[in-house]
Amino acid sequence: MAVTLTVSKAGGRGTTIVADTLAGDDLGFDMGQVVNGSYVPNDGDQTNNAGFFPIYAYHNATKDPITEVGTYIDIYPGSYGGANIGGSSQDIADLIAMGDATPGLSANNGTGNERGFWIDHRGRSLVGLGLSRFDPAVAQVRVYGQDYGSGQVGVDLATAIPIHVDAMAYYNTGTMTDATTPVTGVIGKLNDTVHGDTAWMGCRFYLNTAALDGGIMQWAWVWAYSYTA
Amino acid sequence: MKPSYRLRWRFDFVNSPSKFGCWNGSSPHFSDSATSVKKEGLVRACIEGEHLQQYATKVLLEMPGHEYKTSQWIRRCNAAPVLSPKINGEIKLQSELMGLALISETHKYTVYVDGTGSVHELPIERRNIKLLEHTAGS
Repeated sequence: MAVTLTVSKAGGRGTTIVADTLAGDDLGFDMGQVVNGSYVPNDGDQTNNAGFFPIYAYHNATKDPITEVGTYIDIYPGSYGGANIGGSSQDIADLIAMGDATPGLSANNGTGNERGFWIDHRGRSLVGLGLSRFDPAVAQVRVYGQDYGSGQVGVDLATAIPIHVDAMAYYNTGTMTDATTPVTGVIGKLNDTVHGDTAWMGCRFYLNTAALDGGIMQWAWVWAYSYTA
Repeated sequence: MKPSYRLRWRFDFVNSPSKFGCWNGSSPHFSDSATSVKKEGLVRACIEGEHLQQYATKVLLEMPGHEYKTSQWIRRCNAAPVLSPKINGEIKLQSELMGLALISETHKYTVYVDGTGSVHELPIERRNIKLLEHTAGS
C-alpha cells in the first residue's frame, strides 16, 4: 500500500489539500514575491526578523513510521512559466548557486547578502524565536545548495536534508506538542507521541541586494521518504 | 530520475514456492504487502526489475534470508515552489515511486527505478526503530 505524505501550510493535520495555481498553470506552492535585500515572507518587519512559511508534513501510514524523510530541490517538472530565458534548468542551477554563495551570516538579511531557499526545522519554537529565527549558524537551519563541509546539501536525493529531530511533534490533544524521543528523518504514524506524527518546519526565500534578474523563478521542492513494503 | 524499471520484491523459501509482490507495490491491500509474508524458511530476499522497454525481468538485488529484516518503498513528493506575486493556502504534491530497499540489521540496500542503487549504513537510533518484520503474516 502506497503511503501518502501530505505537506501543508495550514496548522496541524489538515484534510483538504488546496493547491496554488502557478505560473504555467500547474499546481504547487506559491511563495509570493521577494524584494532585493530581504526575504519572503517578512510580515513587513524585516528588522525584527519576522515572518516565515510554516510547513507541516505528515502521512497516512498505519503500521509503521516513515523513515529517511528528507528534502531537496530539483528541476521544475511542470509547464514552465518562469522568466528565465534558460528555462527551468537554468532556474535550478541559479537556485543552487544562490545557496552555495549565501554567506550564512544574517538571519534577517540585514547585510543584504543572503540569498536562496532556506529551511528552519524548529517548527514549534519558530513563533517565539524572534531574532534567532533562521539563524544560519545552527544545525536546524539549512540552505539548499550550501556546503557545510561535506559538499552541497539538498541538491539531490543523495544529499537530501534530513528532517531534524526538533521538527517532530504530535497533535493528539489538538495542540502541537514536542515528540518525546524523536529520531532524525522519522515521522511516526498518527498519535505517535514518541516519534511525533507531524514534522513542523518553516521556510523562507532570501534575495541579495545585488541580484539583477527579476521575474518568476520555479523549481521542485522534493520530499523523499521510505515506508514499509 | 527517469524510470527504466518497475520493481517488486521476491522471497525464496527452502520448502515452499517463491512469493512475489505486485509491481511497484501497486496493490491497495495490506495482505499483498511484503510484511504479510512469513519469513520461516526464507533463503533469499530479492528485488526484481522489469525493464520498461525490453520487458525482461531480472534480479537487481539479492540478500541472504538470514540477513534480511524488512523492506521499504521509497517515494518522492514534489511541492514545486514558485516565486510570484501571490500567496495561497496549502501545497499540492505529486507523488512518484523512486525505489525499493531491502533492510538488514545495519544497512539499507536500495534499488532505484532508473536501475541504479545505493547502500546506507543505518544510524544506531534508526536501527532501534522497530518496523514490521513480516510479523503480520497470515
